[in-house]
Amino acid sequence: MKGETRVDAARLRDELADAGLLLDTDLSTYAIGDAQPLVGVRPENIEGVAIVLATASRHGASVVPWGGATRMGLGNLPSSYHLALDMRGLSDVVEHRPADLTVTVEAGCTVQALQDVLRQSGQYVPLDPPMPALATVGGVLATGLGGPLSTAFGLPRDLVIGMRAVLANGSVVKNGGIVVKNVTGYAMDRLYIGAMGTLAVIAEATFKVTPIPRAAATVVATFLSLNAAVIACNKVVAQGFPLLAAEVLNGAAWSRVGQSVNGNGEHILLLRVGGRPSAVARSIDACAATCREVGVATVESLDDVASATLWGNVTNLGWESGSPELSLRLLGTPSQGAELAALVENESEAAVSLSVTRGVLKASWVSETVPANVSAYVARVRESSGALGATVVVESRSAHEGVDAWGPTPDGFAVMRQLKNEYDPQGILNPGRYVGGL
Amino acid sequence: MESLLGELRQALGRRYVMERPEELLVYEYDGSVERAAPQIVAVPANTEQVSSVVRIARKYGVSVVPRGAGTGLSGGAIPVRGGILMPLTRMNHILKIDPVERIAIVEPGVVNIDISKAAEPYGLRYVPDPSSQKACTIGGNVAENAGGPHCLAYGVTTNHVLGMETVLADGSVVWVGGRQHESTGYDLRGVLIGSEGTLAVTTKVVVRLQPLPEMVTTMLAIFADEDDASAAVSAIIGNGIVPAAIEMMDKLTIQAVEPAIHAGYPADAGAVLLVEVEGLRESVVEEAAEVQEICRASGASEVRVADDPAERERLWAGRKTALGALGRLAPSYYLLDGVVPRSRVMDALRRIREISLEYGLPIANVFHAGDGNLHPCILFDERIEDELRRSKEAGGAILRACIELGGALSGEHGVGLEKQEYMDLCFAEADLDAMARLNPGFGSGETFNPGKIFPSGASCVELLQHSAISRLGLDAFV
Repeated sequence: MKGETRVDAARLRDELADAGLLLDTDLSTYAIGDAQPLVGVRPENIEGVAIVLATASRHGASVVPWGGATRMGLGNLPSSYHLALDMRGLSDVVEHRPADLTVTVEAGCTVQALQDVLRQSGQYVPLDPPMPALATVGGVLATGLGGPLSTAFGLPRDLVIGMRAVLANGSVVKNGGIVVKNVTGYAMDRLYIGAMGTLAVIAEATFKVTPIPRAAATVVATFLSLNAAVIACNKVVAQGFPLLAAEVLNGAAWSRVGQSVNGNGEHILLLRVGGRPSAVARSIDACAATCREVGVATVESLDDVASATLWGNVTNLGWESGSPELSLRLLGTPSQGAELAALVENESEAAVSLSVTRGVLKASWVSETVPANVSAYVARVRESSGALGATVVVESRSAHEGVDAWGPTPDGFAVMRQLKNEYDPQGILNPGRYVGGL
Repeated sequence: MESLLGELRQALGRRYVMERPEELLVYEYDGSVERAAPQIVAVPANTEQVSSVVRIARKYGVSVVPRGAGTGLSGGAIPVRGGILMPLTRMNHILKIDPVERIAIVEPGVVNIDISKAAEPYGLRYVPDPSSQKACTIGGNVAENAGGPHCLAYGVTTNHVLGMETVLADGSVVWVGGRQHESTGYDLRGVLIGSEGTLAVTTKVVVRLQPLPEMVTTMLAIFADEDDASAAVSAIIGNGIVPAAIEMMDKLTIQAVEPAIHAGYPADAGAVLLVEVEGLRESVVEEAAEVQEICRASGASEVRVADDPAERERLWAGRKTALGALGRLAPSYYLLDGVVPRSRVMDALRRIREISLEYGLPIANVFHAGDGNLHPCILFDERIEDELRRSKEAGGAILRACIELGGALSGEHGVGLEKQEYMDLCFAEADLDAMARLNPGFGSGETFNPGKIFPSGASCVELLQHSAISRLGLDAFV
């Protein structure tokens, strides 16, 4: 049933051309590793997506959904790849309801285009992926990964209140709605979010939005050890300050975001607070004071404008010139942050950024610093992280064959496999990309 | 049946397996108007015993309905097809409060408010606070994806649960999510939360804890009518303020509450708004001032303000006792849970008034105005012929109105038995079919809580055949 590769490319192309969906551009832009699709399509609406998937399903053709391609390096190579489904034709902000604090947007809309619309009403959706001018809403949801703002707002899945998606057979399905609280029926969007496009193609999502804080600022505190930075951060959190984000960067990361680095072992704690100007002012003072108490080399604060630029760079860490040569994501718990950072720092020159309150660590390498034997290196980090119960995901591995992107299958994998069989029985959606070959 | 009982007794001990009709009687109710009795009640003490019950049930082809405190309002804990009812109330231990990870690990039978009580010494709390939080259990909260007044600013149960230990229909024990904030694989946690006990049984829950706010201010504003109060809600949100809670009570509710708690609401008050802001001192003071100003500008005749816990509790008293107080107006009520976009609350209240007149039944409204989650409360008297039927019809009309206004059937109570026949108002066949495929995905079959959520076509008469009363005969109580 699966792995069927005998697809009648000519007929597939003809049928899609008849539907007016065929792309005549160079398909090499849709290559993943060495794999290049036979056909590329770019529908303009959800009906078009449905036609594409129904057609692909009839032909047994495997489909890779595309957004801004900023995270196409995430995941294993597809086991089969016939059709590139470019979702960027679905780029509309369908409806922004400022009074309801909700917005409905098509999957191919970029995060930045969405924020531009929301900003006109003083609102935003707290999504902060790398390269927001390219990253699409659908791509952010399909990967499901958090950014620095997840400290305050949770993961992308926590912001979604409704969804329209297309199943592998071309069936258009919805769940949730446009209300902020809703338990009418199963939360199907939770299944599709973070599923790497292996269960359904996300076509439209409705988000909760939030007012842009009236003021925001960032404390930049340089510590001489990672531990001190983490301790200071935890003290700040315990005091209940309105943190939007809290990251610790090592020296390599700090220089990559365009800052100067003095010496050895320094780690920089970035605390972004937002809210009323008066509350932000006291938070900044109190955060700085806490950092001094713990023992800090230097501490300063940045206003909203300066901090916006800095956080843009922090979010883009690893993506400065496209996608990273190598990037790992270590998924631990808040108390494991320092240990996880030590793991990657000990034997390489990784640029490290740790989301302290979440225990999620990003490590990235440029071509000059990439470990000699990536596969052996990842295996070692995986083994040590695994002993802590943490998971290591290879976020970008385009140049490194032979490294599994996801590591061991998680608990409940048998259910996941069965769900894949239920929602995509032919195995045509992004086959083999996700954990355990899902 | 005898060997089924025997195996269950072997697994749980004699006293934790019940089957005599008089023992089953208390288990045929929950907080809804529905009722149906199980054949057996089995009360496990730990995950292993839950797994045993499920394996034995599977072996005999009997279904299992998990139950928490039975406070649910949509019939989620009603064993509509009989079988084994499995209360999880013996599994009521807080296993861990971890102030470093800012999580609690608890068993499903732990009462919601007890998590916050246990976390308080660490300066932490568990945020979602269903109105029944002094009784309802975290397992039930997970099953229904429960909300509460303070979900306006902080989100509902799913936003606060990192992972669960669950027992699947084959008796296997599987963790979904965990202590990590991010994990690999499909978000089974996310689909199980709110699945109303139909796919798996939750045996442990990892919840996130949040620091206690530095300051909390509660305001109670009295309005001459609902429209003014609704306008105030819109103006507050429109001003970029997202309070921790915004609750509204309408005239009928106020009339029931005032004689019960003597809050001093004026006799002619048309609506009362409760607004709570919290956080850092500076922002609370500013936001509270702005909220008061907005309320007055929207026509509030009086705004009461409190920031110490006892005073705040007094302002909340009317809201928290509202449902009980409605008992003064009628012997029974049918509480709905429709939700509309927050800007359509005013329209929804108008439609509800029309429906009240049309069906000749008083309808009180006490609800989460900030997120558009209505709780119309249809007052009726079961003894008067036709009133139960009419109240259900009026409920249907209200749900239809919510859908027409862009809303949904349930904001926080779940679909259960109550709203399953209305699901096709919200969803097309393809949508429901996609939802239904979760069942084979989890391998649940008919094992867990069958006959819920999806339209069944079953009538109330069928439900009553399972009632213990019908098996015992009415004389049993004389």
